[in-house]
Amino acid sequence: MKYDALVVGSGIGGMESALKLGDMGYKVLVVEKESSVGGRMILLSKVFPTLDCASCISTPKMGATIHHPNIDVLTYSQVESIRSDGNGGYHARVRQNPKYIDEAACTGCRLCEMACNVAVPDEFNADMVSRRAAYIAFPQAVPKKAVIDRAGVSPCSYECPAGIKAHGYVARVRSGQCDEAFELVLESTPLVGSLGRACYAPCQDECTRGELEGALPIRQLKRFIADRRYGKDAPSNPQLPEWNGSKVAVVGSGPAGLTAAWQLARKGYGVKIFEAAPQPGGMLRLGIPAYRLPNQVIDDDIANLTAIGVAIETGTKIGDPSRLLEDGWNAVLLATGTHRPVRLRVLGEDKQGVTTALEFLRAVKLGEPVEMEGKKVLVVGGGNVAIDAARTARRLGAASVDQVSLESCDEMPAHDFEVEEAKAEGITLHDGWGIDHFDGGERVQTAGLKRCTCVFDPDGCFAPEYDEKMRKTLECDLVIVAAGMGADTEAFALQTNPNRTLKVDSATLQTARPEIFAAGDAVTGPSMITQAVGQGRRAAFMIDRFLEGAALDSAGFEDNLPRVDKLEVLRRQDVYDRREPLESHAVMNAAPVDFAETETTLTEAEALEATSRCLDCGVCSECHACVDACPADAVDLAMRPEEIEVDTASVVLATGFKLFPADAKPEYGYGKYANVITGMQMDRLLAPTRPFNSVLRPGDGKVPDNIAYIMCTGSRDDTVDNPLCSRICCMYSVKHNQLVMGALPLADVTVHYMDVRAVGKGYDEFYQQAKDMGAMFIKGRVAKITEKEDGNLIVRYEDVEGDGGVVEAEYDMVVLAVGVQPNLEVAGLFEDGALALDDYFYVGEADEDLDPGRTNLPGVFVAGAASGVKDIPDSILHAGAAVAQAAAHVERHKAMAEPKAKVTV
Amino acid sequence: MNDTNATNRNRSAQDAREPRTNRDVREIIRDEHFMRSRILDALAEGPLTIPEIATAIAQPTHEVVFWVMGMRKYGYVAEIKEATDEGYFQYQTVPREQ
Repeated sequence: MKYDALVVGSGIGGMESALKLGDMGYKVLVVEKESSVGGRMILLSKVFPTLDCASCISTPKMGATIHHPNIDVLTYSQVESIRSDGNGGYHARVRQNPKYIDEAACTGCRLCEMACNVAVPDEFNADMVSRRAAYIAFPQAVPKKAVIDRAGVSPCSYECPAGIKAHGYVARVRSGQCDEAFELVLESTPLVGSLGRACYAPCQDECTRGELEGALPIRQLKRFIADRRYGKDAPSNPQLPEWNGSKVAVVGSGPAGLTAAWQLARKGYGVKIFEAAPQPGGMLRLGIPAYRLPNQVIDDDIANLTAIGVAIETGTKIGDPSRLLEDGWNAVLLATGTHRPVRLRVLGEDKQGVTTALEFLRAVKLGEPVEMEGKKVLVVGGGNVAIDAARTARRLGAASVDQVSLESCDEMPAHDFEVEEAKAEGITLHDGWGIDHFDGGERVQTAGLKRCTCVFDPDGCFAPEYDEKMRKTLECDLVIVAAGMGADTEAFALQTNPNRTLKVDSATLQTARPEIFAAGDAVTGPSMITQAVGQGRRAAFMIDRFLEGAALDSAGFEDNLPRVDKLEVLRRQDVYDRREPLESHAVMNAAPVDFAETETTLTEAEALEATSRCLDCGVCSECHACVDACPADAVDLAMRPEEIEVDTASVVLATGFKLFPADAKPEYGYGKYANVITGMQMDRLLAPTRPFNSVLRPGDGKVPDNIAYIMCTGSRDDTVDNPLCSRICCMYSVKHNQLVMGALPLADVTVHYMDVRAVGKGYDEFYQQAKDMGAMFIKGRVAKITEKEDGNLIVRYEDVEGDGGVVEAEYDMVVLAVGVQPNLEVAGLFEDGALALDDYFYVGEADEDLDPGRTNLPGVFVAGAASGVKDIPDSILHAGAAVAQAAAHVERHKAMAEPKAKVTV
Repeated sequence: MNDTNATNRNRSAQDAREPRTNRDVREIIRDEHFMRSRILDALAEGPLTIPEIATAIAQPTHEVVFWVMGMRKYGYVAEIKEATDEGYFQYQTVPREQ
């Protein structure tokens, strides 16, 4: 992109510069970091001394800037660097931030904003009210297009292997949209209830609130929305997708198979699941005890699939999947899990009374007879399956349950809470012991144990070592071995890995036979439910692409933004209110006798309270409310930043100023006393698009009766290292005085000042007019403000012109006429600190008196308040001066570039 | 003078700030969605002023201002035109299209 001028910033100085250059015929690029042009002026109520409406003056310029044929505008963009091109021009790199909105489609209707579930302070209303993560900056924004504020993906959502938008459904619940929260989870998987109970919740491990008092109960919130939906009398009536003419066979009905079937059916595929077991659900049904996951919940989850036409054939074991292709299925997904138990390979393992956890749990879950009453049970293993087996045995009436684990308690692969719950139910743990052999006649009677000294070798491989001298014997009637699980894939006649898992392309999940895909534990080995769900989603995505004839790449699948840095999230606030995490809902019984759930569901009040602790890490929660609400389909969350390279003959810096942070004068109580506000906040309260319905006290919404202004807050003040007069504070305060007295005719206005600087055409008259209207001016610097119980403020000052002495006065509200500071970011745009600043860190001008607007860099000019504080007329004048210099430079640049005519003699 | 001095200047100004005793504005505003149903419930019986809403939901008045003004901005509540004799506006619920 080549331009005659790059204008950085689109406040009044930037717009004026661009318009004048554009009118002269130069090609101009304006780069504005906000989503609208207009800068600070558009946010003002009126301008002084004419009291013209700021919007009325600004919006024509804003519109002209955007629509000028010679001006291109990049809003929501930042100049990252500017460097000389060595030929008198400059090369700039611009980052165009994604708005996540298709601007061509967006009509500015604000329906996305109205629907958005995340509230953040509205910087365009001086943080006095909320805006949404999806928002239009302000009513007069140009362009009037929405933007979605995304800092990245929230850690909870990012860490979910299933791709579930955890932050999204938390935000939905917080807004009372439980059905919509349920639907959001359905976008990933139909297993809402199962995951709400049996997921090990990696989202919670990564919750940023965990760095404070404790993580949100994200899994329990999922259970809450599932129980709420499934508990309704009238089941949902989903719309059946139209068949697209293709059929997919899914072999296996565990989390991967069910999820893939769900995703494919929603895309219009005819899907049938073939399941070898008598009931569908895979390991959910056969491996997880009912006290953790009742069968009814699995049935409810599976009903989501059957409701949209997915057929399930149980009791059918598929051998060679090629047969399915021959039978007319267009593609096959193998998701058969890991149902083959791993043996211990110790002496006596074949005796009667030794079984595996998989067989045991499956029999119990399917309601087959299992004789356990009065038996001494020994469970071998340290994982979650072993814990499940031990706790199940306890419920079936075992006289005692001992559990042997090679690992010490701290190293056991089972989750800590599972171990604690097992102990609480009376299971005796023998950690750090291995099985040497089983003894007895035909039937097992004892187990010989030996001390395990080390489980893994230095490379982390399983290689247990034992102290052969340390041994003990445990009596047992029944041994349940939970030594691992493997895939049972021989019958498929496909390539496998050494551990018998299916060999696939890890990105596409395609086997060597193109029409056959595989996913879940049959590919990865034993994993968490969410990982299997994630595999199922990926497989469905790839099968769809395969059957559509598209390239099998991951584009469009889980193309996440980067994860938000937790520290960055925590730095957004100075202080955090402590909010206690929810207490555990696990109800433990030392002698459980049935399979009633050990955890209760959250109440509605608990669920809402829990969601209120969410920090909205990513800002946008990805709840998709905006997607649902937008009538123009303009929301595009797949947008990404773009880097744009720009060549320009000249640069005009119109980066404006910063306002003094009022809390840096702690004696005035800003940020501490609600009724102390800044001048900019009062400007917003007086503007037609104000945050409140009138000028009100932020402390309690009362119409103030008497208002004080404190001038020179943060300017002409060595205590905050700002000796400069900020020039505009006196006059904007006088402007406020008049507007307040107009808006609140009964209100008293008092100004505490050092001296009033009313230099400019009509300024002194404007000041006198305020006095004539009744504004009272008291000379003397304010030392301190304190707050009364009713929110009124006591202002302590020295009365210089009156009776003298220290005086205290009481006001309803105090406005701090904050000063101005340089915008330091501008210097960082130039490599090697090439841009010179003046003694006060504004952009330095080579000669302010004779050569305004010219910086130390040839071809770089400064316009408006970036070179020092200016009011609006002076900013416009200064921009004109800078533009004249820029135009001259561009002409010189062009002349230099043209080839010189040959002089012949 | 150079950039470092300027940075130090700003930093010293920052350091001079007293710790806030109120909740962070970002945190208060984040609660708007959570508080919305409580406020709407409080207004179900009729219009209330900010202090009356604060009493009804047992929350600080200055925080209620943020929530009510946010709800006003997004069309959940609206003020009754005239303020009370005590100088407070009353707010009432607004029917919303679903």
